[in-house]
Amino acid sequence: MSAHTTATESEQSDGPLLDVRGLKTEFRTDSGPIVASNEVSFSLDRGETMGLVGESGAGKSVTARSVMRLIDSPGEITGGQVVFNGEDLLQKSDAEMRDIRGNRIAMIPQDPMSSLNPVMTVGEQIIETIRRHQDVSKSEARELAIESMDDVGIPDAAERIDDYPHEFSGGMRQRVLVAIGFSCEPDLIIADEPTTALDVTTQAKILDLLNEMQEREGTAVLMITHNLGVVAQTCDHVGVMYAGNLVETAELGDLFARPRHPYTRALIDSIPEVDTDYDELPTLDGAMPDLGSLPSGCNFAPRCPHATEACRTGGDPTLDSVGDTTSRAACIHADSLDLSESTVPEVGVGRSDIDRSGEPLFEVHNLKKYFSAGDGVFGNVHLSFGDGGLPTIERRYVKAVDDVSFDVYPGETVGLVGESGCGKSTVARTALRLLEPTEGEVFFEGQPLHELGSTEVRSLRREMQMIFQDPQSSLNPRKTVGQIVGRAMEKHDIATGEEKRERVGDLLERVGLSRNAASKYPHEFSGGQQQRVAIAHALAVEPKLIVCDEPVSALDVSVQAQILNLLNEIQADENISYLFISHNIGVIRHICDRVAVMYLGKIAEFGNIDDVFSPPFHPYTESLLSAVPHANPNRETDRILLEGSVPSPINPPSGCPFQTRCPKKIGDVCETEFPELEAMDQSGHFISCHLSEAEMSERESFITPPKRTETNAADSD
Amino acid sequence: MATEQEANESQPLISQSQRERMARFVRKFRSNTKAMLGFSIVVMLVLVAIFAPLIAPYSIEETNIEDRSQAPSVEHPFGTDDLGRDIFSRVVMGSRISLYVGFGAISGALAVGAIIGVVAGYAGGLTDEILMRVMDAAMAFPPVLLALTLLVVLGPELSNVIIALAFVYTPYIARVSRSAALAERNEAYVEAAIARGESDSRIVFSEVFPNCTAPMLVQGSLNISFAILAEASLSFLGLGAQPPKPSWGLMINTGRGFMETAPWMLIFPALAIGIAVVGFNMLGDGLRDVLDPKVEAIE
Repeated sequence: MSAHTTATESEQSDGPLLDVRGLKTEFRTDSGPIVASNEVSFSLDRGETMGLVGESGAGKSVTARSVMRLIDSPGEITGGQVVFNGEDLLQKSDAEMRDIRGNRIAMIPQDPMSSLNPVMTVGEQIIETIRRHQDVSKSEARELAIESMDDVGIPDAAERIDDYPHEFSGGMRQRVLVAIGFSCEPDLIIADEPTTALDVTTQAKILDLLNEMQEREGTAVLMITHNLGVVAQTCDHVGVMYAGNLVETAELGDLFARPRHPYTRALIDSIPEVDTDYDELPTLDGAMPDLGSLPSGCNFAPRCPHATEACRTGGDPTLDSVGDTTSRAACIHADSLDLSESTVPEVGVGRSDIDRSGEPLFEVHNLKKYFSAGDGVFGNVHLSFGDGGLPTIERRYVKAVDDVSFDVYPGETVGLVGESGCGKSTVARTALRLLEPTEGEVFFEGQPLHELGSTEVRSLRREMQMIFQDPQSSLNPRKTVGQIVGRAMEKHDIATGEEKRERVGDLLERVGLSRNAASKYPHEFSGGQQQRVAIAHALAVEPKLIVCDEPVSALDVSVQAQILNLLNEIQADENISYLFISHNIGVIRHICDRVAVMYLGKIAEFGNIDDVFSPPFHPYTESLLSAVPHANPNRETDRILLEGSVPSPINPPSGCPFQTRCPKKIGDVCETEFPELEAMDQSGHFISCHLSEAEMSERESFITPPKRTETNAADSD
Repeated sequence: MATEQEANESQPLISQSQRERMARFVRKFRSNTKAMLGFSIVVMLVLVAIFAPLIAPYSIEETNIEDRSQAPSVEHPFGTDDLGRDIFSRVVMGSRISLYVGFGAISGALAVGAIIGVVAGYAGGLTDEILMRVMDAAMAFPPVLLALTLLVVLGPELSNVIIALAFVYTPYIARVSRSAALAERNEAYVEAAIARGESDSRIVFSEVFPNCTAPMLVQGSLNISFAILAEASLSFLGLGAQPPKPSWGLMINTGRGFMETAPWMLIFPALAIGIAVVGFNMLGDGLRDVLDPKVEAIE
């Protein structure tokens, strides 16, 4: 089919390490077979890294699993060849495959939490892999295991080898999985979304580790990910998948500099990047077609901005070389289209200026939320043995939110950003009184929310709504969309009967669904559509504040962009305020006016989005921003990798909560004194750090300099 | 727009998707041998019970000393008992008692147990502790022994058997409902309802409850078979249906004395109990497979 696939295979060492030719994997379902991976062809040389990117359902995991022959019934590999070291893996017996898996081809799974057996020590699990494939004694295997743990940067490997998985943090567990993967010195590692379940700062460390291991061992890596930033940081070649097909393969630089397939361009464009400011994210309409009913022409034609009549008929185009380049694309217009330039305007002008002269809509003062550590009445009682004296009994609490204050003005979006466990979701839930605050004051339009009884809170719920992370879980599966959206109107006496039905229809159209969606059930919609229903549900009561708890993190990037645009559009029309929680810094950058960076239940930095992303930086903000993988291979960021992991909120460090990991720690003052939030300038930029402003300003801004004069004039009231 | 509006107004009672879901359920049910077999047996039993007076060739109470203890023959396919009554007629009529007690007791247990379980699971904390410890206490007694004790207090009557068995099986239903509700209460739609300002009772009964029905249904149909068995045991011990009612358990009790001379007096009612128990058990087991979402994923 292409230059790659016709490569000679006479000499094992001459051919590519892995050569996948016309691989086809089908799944049998009730409504006929579904082709999850169709005619996929690519090759990978020794020591190189290939990325397979695509949105969920694109078939990238199925392809990787097919390479390892890990497809279970009702799935079946129905065609093609997987030539590994000159031998077709599809012709091997099951026993031969077992010798290859883990030994010659190893896999690093996605979720470090569930991929290790909790009742075996990590040592046993590494040794098990080594002894399965290498003829070594138990003690030799143990030595090898300790060595491999050392290699992946687990401190005190010799002591920690007998620990159980739960004694390791998420990042450390992923290191253990990397150690298992590399333990038999395989020729090929398949990494299936190895960092998706991790925080950005941990992700940066694991990606560095993978790059380093690969260079040292000369292993080829097939990296499966939905994150183009991860690809830009790790890969040599990239394959882009869409609806079961490989639609483009290219060298890393070429892919970003001059994508050949319109889908690749769209994928790159729809990522909200930290350094650019958009009015509106460019989006693709619709979602990936259902694999059971693919369009008659090019699979991408229904969403493609460049589609012509010829695209809509004649089946899906095959992957062909484009001109005389090394890129291959499955697009009939690939030769003529020039997609090297993004069609997106570079600098945003539309960020509306927020009038902060009046009263804030929502105010939070010194909010605290402590959870009892442990279950039951006596669960949090802890015996501690002080300095040789009598044991003392104390009650222990998880300080999920510790002294947090911020405000939200009408029409404004305030972001809460931080890594998992920093307390950002708890802040939102406590502020809305979905959880009872331990201490602190919350005002909504001047009304003290923390003092109201449950009936009064219930009626105030009309003004405050929430959008959840997982739309599938936030919509009751037994109710129709019309019932879900209409119920809120009924509950708060906004509309009933015919009027209600009318308004539900209007709302559904408002969020981009059709009116007759009202009679359908949530499971009939895709994830993005479900999130639209959730937005309609929140809007049904005409609230003034909507708390968005990671509303796009469960969605694919092209759908994520649609939802973000919708939220922005609704805000512009209705002047609603958002409290927007996310761990995705690009998303925060795109949608928020002001942002609070949280660490261990406290706010580390708070201010206008441009100020937070420019110096002076809180050291934590700085490392967080530097760790974000950019979808731009030419961009060199001097990344700050944090040592260790987030301390337990039961026993937070004394002084500054960040002092245990801070790369810029000054000394004793950090350990003894908590740094109060200090104003940096007149525009409301606060940082909680003992460093001087000059010390925090050593790094350049992460964003293109905004038109500072205008923003400042508007912000300082 | 106008046409769409009309379409909305004339919304059918069952929406398109509900019909599809139903169709999928039926298809899966039919491809499950266990469920189909159990279902056929149960349907057959129900039909026999409904048309019992038409099927039974003889009166069930009329005694005939001359024909007593006759072996199975063309006239009396299951033979006759020590008083000359036709055993076939009595077994057929006895199905009414068994099903009446089985369905009656389990409907009662479902009504009470499901509410207790869902409330306990949703509320958690002290409410959950109290409700479930009470259920545990009730469960600590062997079912038949507990029913026996209750019947001694209430008096040996068929309606009391139903009450006693409903009481005995309530904790089992409650346990299953509670675990279903525990899983559901962590779903975000519950939080969405709270954020919407719904009251607790509305959330429990309108949001959570409908999502917990599948495991209740499975547990219910399994427990019907236990209830039928328990009724037979109670009647056998003389605390259930009273003579001359043709309860299968009672028939076994009288047949016990004639085990050597007229074994058919024992065999046929016992066989009937066996078939009924196996039928409901298979139906419950099959339903569990059909309703299990994990099985659905593999489909």
